[in-house]
Amino acid sequence: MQGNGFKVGLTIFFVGLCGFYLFPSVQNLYVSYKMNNMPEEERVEYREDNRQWLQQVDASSLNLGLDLQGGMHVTLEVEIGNLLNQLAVNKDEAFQQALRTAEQRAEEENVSVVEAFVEEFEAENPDGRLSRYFRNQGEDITRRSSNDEVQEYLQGQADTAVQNGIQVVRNRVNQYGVTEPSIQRQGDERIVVELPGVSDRERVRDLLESASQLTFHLMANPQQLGESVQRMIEYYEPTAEDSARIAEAQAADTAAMEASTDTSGVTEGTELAASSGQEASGGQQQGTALTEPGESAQTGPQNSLLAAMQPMPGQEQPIIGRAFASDTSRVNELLQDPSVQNMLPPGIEPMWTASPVLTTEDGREAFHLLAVRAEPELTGEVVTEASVQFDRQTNEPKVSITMNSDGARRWDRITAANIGNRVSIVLDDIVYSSPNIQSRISGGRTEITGLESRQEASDIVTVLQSGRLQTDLNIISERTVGPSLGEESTRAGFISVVAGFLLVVLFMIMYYRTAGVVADIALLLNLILIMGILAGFGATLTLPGIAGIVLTIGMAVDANVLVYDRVREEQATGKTLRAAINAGYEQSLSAILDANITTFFVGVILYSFGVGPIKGFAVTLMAGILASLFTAIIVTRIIFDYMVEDRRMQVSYG
Amino acid sequence: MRLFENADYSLIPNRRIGYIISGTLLAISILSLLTKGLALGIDFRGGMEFVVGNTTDLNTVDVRSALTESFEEEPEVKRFGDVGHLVRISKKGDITTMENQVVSALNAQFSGRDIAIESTNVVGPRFAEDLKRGAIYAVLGALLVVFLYIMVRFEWRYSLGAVAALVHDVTITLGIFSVLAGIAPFSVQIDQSLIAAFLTIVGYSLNDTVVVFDRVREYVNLFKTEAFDEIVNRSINATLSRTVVTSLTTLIVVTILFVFGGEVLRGFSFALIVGVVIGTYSSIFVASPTIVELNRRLEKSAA
Repeated sequence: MQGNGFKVGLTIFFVGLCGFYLFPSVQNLYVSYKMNNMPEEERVEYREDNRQWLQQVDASSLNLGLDLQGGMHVTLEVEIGNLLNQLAVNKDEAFQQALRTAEQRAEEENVSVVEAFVEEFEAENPDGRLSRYFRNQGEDITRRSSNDEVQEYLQGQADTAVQNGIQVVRNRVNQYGVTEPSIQRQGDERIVVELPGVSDRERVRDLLESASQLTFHLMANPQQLGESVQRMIEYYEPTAEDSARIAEAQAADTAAMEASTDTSGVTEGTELAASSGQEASGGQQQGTALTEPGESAQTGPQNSLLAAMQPMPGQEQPIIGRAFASDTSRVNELLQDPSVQNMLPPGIEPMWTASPVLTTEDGREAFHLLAVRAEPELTGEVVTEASVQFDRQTNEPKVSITMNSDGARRWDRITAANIGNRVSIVLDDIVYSSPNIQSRISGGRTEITGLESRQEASDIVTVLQSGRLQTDLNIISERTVGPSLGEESTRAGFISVVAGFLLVVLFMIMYYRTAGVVADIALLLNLILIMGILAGFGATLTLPGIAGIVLTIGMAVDANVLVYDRVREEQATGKTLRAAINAGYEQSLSAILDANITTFFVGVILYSFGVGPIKGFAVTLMAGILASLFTAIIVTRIIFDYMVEDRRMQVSYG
Repeated sequence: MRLFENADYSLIPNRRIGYIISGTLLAISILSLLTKGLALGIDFRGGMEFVVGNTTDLNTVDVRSALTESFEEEPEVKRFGDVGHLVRISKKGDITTMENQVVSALNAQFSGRDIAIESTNVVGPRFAEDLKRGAIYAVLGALLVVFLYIMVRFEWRYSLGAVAALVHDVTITLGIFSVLAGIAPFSVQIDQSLIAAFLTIVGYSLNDTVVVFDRVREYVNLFKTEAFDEIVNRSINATLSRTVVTSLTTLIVVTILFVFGGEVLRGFSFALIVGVVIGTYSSIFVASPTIVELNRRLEKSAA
């Protein structure tokens, strides 16, 4: 066993590492098993008591793919052709023709719409200049800009459109209230959205595909609002039999609310000023007058509205209330009630803020519900330019907006009549900013000051830009798996792994005797290593991934089989056991490496071209190859060395 | 227990038998692929696919006729394990509308049960084109990488032998899928997961081939006086026991996947069963004879 110290250390290290990564998954399994055995009430209580810990465990355990846990996987495409159409200032026949062919080509070939459009246009009009369609002073595209410059500009616009699309989708999904959604960009013009556990397909489709529009709205009068909110709360004051039922479920929400109120107040001091260099008079501290924690704890449990939302009347801003992300959809539901709708001041619609107004220590985010006038004053088309700038004196970030002449004229009228009131910038019924109008703004150049961070400023700019151009999203692929099908797949996968493992284990013992047992130990270790690698790299376990594991069980023993058969051959030539083992490992090494490296390459290729669940298969296949190489070359060798050299055992190779 | 211990079969001398078997299988496969073609799944063709639940006790024919009436076209309907039925609609249209039409048509025909959509799979035409392109690149890329790796580690002759075996395996597996299209009681449509299965077959078959080649390389240096044919035959026999054992364990697990892995993996695991059998066969009867034949040509042209 001398000289094996390093190998033993390495093995312990890897197994320990995998154990470390797998621990949360095991905990998660144990906890869900424990909770399943609890009576309903106890379970609710347990979940509330350990909310933070449970979330942590869940977040760090092995991810299950949507095909196992159920949910929706949607691929959206941003309509770039439509975008080009919107960007063009004049659309002659040549333009239309090139755009049509480009859209068609993009459908059939692996080429982006912008690329295809430029190529088509140049092919049809060798001397034509694209700049004649896309003149834009703000972006420095003039009559003399070369086609390359225009292409770069268009590509940039397309890119922004996709970024905006992602932002829009993220907000809509947050609004819908899905736990752990994933929104990712794929390639040039696609967005992949994964929504675990979602089953209301129709609503999600509408949510994702509906066109977004940027609008500017005036807001409700805060004084009027207080009374409305009071009436809504009274409306949801429960009857005696309701209260007992509701009390239980909602006790904890309120508890969490309480905790969060301690975190601090909210700063909301954005202001709107004419861009004439005049200094904004500093942000106002606001939102510190939150409801007393004790108060809401006492009345909260009985009232379903209060349980989901904390009312915040009497603010300088027209805030109806504040709620955690997990409760916003519940609040929406409660406010849908026609009688509640009637309690709001006429023409007022409740809308959520886009960014959280506070974040609790355990990472929960709360949003304001604002009372906004439903009728927009202006739509996003009037915005010609929006950018982040910095104040020359204070170096604070600010947003600069330029409007076209029509917009500027109307803006002048609106601001003149509403000095001291707030105006909200709304995209998709979400309020991105609601600055205070400081003065009458003539000439169309506007600034939003008093922003908290550069990030906030650039978020607002993104929204303003996306409102300028409408981003159309189309669902081009959708995969929905219902929870019962997911469960069935999980069960089928689990049975396959166990059955495959047991049969292979038995076969190896029958065929190779003692050495078979060693191979089986390696196989078990192999499974642990694969799962550990998956958990450690944050990979997702899908049904094809499980198939990959089952396949690995069968193929992983191959390396052992190669070694063992070689040992048998060496023994047949009359070598001692020890010499035969040494020769067996040495002679079979090149075959093992060559065979596995080629298969690993295949896994890499599969990973780079595969989509969704197939990627999961490729990952487990690669993890399986690495794990089986390690166990077959190093781990089994340690065991044989120990048995033969230290213990002088006679090992049977069958 | 020992299988094929000290095997000494005349495999290379009798390689013509292999040529006949492979030739026949290839001819049938290519013929079927050219005439009947492959049933493409919606991944590569585009379209909509729904799994409806609560229909396990209904007859597939009845479900189909209920939908035919409503859609004015005959949709593809298949049993889907213990869940219900799989419905494929080629008509284009809004997803939600189609879903509702399927559900209402079925609930109207078979009242008293709550038939609902269990899962949906929709692939748009452009996305399908992309997936198809990706799949073709993946298979070609895999073959190229394998060819290059073996050329670096062995020699170009071996590369050709290995790739010949891989093309042989994938063609015959595809051929079997083409022949079985419309006959098999499970889905034999070519979709993304089948591409994964094909690449796994490529990997597996290669694994087998490389092990034999590795032995050939070793014996070429060991038995310098022997003819190349003899060496290859000896290598195949020396590794035969390992080839059979590994094929057995792999076959065990893929059969388990086929039986217990559920409806979603049925086609995938079937491809793997076929692939393991053909891959094992081809490393002995295709890859090895190829290098023998190539060697003969070389010797002849040298002489």
